[in-house]
Amino acid sequence: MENMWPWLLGTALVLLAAVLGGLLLPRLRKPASAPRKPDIPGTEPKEEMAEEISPIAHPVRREGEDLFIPHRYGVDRMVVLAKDPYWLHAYWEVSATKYREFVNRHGHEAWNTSHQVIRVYDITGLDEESPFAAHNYQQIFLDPFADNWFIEVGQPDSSFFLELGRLLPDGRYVKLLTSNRVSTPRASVSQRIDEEWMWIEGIYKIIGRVPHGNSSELLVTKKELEGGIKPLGISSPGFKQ
Amino acid sequence: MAKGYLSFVLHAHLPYVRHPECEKYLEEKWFYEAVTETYIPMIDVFDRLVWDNIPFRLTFSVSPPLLSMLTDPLLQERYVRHLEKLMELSHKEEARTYGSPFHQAALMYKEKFRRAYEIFVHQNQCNLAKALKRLQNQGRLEITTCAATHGFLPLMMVNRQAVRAQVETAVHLHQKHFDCSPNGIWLPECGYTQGVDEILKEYGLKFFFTDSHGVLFAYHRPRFGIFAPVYCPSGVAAFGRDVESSKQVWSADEGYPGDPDYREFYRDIGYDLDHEYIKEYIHPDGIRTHTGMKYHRITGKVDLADKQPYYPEWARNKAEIHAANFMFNREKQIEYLSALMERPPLIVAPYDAELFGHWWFEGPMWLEFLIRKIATSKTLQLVTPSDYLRMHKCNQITKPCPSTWGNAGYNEVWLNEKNHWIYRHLHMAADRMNELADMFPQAEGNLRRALNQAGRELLLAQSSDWAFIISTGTMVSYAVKRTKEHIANFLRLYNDIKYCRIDEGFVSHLEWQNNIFPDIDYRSWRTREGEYQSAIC
Repeated sequence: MENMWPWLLGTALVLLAAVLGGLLLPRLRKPASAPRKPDIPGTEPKEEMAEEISPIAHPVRREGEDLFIPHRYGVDRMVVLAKDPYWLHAYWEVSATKYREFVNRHGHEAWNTSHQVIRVYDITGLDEESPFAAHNYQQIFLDPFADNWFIEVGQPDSSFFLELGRLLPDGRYVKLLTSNRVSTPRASVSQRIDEEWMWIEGIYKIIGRVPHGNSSELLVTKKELEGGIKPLGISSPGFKQ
Repeated sequence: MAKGYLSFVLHAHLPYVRHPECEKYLEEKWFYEAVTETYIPMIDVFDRLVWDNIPFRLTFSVSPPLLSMLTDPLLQERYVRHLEKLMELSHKEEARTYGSPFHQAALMYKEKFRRAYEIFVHQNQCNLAKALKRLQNQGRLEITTCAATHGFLPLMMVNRQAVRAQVETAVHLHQKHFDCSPNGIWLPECGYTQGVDEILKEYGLKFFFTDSHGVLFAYHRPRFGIFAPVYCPSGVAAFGRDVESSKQVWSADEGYPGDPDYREFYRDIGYDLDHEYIKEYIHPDGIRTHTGMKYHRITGKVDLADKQPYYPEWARNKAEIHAANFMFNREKQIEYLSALMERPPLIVAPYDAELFGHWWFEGPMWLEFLIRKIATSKTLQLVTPSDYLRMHKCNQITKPCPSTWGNAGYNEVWLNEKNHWIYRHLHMAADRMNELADMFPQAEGNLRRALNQAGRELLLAQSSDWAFIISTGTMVSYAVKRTKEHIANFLRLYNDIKYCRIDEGFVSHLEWQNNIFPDIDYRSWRTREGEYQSAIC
C-alpha cells in the first residue's frame, strides 16, 4: 500500500495540472485573439464621415470583365410568351431532379433514345380553371439540346398552353413540364359588335388599313442606326429592323 | 366650343445612364444632348407661350429614370460643365466661321447654348423637374408617369408582382417630385396586354395610351374607332394613337422632318473638324462624337459630303409652313369626323419627346407655331386625356387588343432571336424578388438596404431599352453589359440575403453606383392576397 502513495500523489498532481491547465489555458490564449487596436497607417486617422462623402469604391469587378450569370437556375419551369398574333416563344429548364426521376423510371438509355417534343394545346375559349382540357394539340420535335423555341401557331386571338415532354421509341409520351397559359393578340378589327355602341362605317373608311409600323417608315432608318449613332428617341414607333 | 380635340402627347424617356464611377461614358452623353436639344428647348417654348398668355394643354410623360437623372445632383453638376464646354466651343466657332456661309448657324448655336445655360442654371437651379412642375401648376401640362425603369410590361406579366412594382415605384417617385398623383401613364413602348389595366387601377391611374390597333382591334369593334377612348372592364381608359397625324411627323419620306431646309443630323463638327482643334470637345480617348453643332441642311437625297449650309431663317419659315399644314390637316380631319359623330372627335398624337429638337432640330419651333395657331382656331382645341374624360364620362367598355408601337405592332422588337435570352433571367429574378419580399414582411437595417437594392437592380435590368438596343444592333455590348450586370448584382444580393451573409460593403457600393429610387420599398414585390401563380412549377 505504501508504494501506492507516490502513484496516487503523482496522479493527483497530473489531474490538478490538467484542471488548472484547462482553466488557465483559455485565459492565457485569450489575449492573443483579443481585438487589438487596428494598425492605423501612419498618415491621417480615419474620419467619421469620409465614407459617406466619398464611398469606398469596392472593386466589384473590372471594366470589360465578362459577367457571369448562370444559364440554369436548378428549377423546373416552362414559360411561354406571345411574340405576335402568329408566333409564340417558349423557354424552359428541366432540373437535375426531374431528369433523375425520368431516368429512374425509364432508364438511362430512354433519355438518349427519346425525342424532346413540345405539345401546343389549343384552349381557346375554354375555362381557365380546367387547364387540362384542350381542343387539340400540335406536336413539335425539337433539337436535342434546345432550351427555347419559336413556335408558329398561326392563330390570332387564341389561347394556348404548352407541355415539354419526351417521346420514347415505343411511342409513349412522358410529360416533363407544363407552361403558363398564353393568348395571341387579334390581328384585325373584331367581328364582335356591341349593339349599344354600333360602329360607324364612315370612320373606319378613313382609317383604312391600320399601318402599325408598316407605313410609318421611321425617320431613323436601320442604316443610320448601324452607323454608330446613339439610340436616342429610343421607343420610336414602327422601328424597322 | 371647338368641333374637335387634339391631344398632343410627348413621351420623354432615357434609360438610366448615370455612371458615377467615370465621367467618360458615351451613354451619359445621351442625357446631356437630350437636355440641351430637347428638354430645355421644350421648356423654353412652354414658358414663352405662358408668358404670351397663349392657352394650351399638353400631355407630357416623364419616365422615372429620366426624372431621376434630371433631379440628380451629380448629373446636374456634370451637365453644367458639359454646357460650359459647349459655350466655349461656340465662341471659338463664332470666330472660326466668320465670313463663311456657316457663320449664321454658329451664331445661332452660341445664342442657343447661352440661353440653355440661363434656363438651366438661373431659371431652374439646375433642376428641370421644377420647370415641369411649374408648368403643370400653371395648368398647361398634364404630367403622366411611366413604368419605373421603362420595363416592357407585356412580357413581364407572367409575374404580376413585377408589373406592380414597376407601377408602384413610378407612382411614388412622381408623387415625390410633382406633389400629386399621376392621373395617367405612358405604357413603355405603348406595350399593353390584358391585365395591365387592372394593376394601373390599383394605383389610381385612369388612362393609358396604345397604338392605333390597340383600340381599333378591341374585343368589341369600337364605335368611334380611335377618335374616342374606350374603357377597359377595369374602368381605366385607353386612348389610341391617330395614324394620320403620326405619319405626318414620323414618316421619313412624307414626314416634315425630312424637309431639305431642315438641319442635317449626321453632319456634326465633332466628326468634320480637325482632331487637334476639336479634341477637347469630343470623347477624351479621341473617339469622335456629336457635339451638337451641325452646320448643314438636309439638302435632299445627296451624299453627306454634298450637304449644303444650313440657314436658320429658311428652316424657321419651313417650320411655320409645316405647322400650318399640320393644323389644316387636323381641321379637315375634325370636320369630316364631327359630321359622323355625335360628340367632338378626339385626335391623339403621341410622340417621343426626343424626336423634337434632337432628331428633328426644328421640332420645338414647329410645336410653338402649331400651338399659337391652334389658339386662334375655331375647329380645334388642345386637351389632355383627363380633360376629355371630365367632359365625356360615358365611353364604350371593351377590352383593348394587346399591342405595342414597335415594328409590326406587337412584341417582336423586344422578343426575337437576338434578345429572347434575357427573359429567362428577368423572370427568374422577378420570381426571386417576390420570394424575398414574402420571406421578409418587415425587414430593418442592412437587411432592408440589401432588399431594396435587390429591387433596384431588378428594375434596372428590366428596362425595355436593353432589349431594344440588342435588337437594333447598335451599342449592343453596352446593353448586354447592363442587363448582365444588374442580373448578376441581383443574384448575388439574393444569395447573400437568403443565406444570411449580407456584405455591407457590396450593398454600399451598389447603393452608390445604382442609386435610382432612394425611397424604393422592396415590399412592392410582395404577393397580394388571393392571387399569383408562379411560372416556376
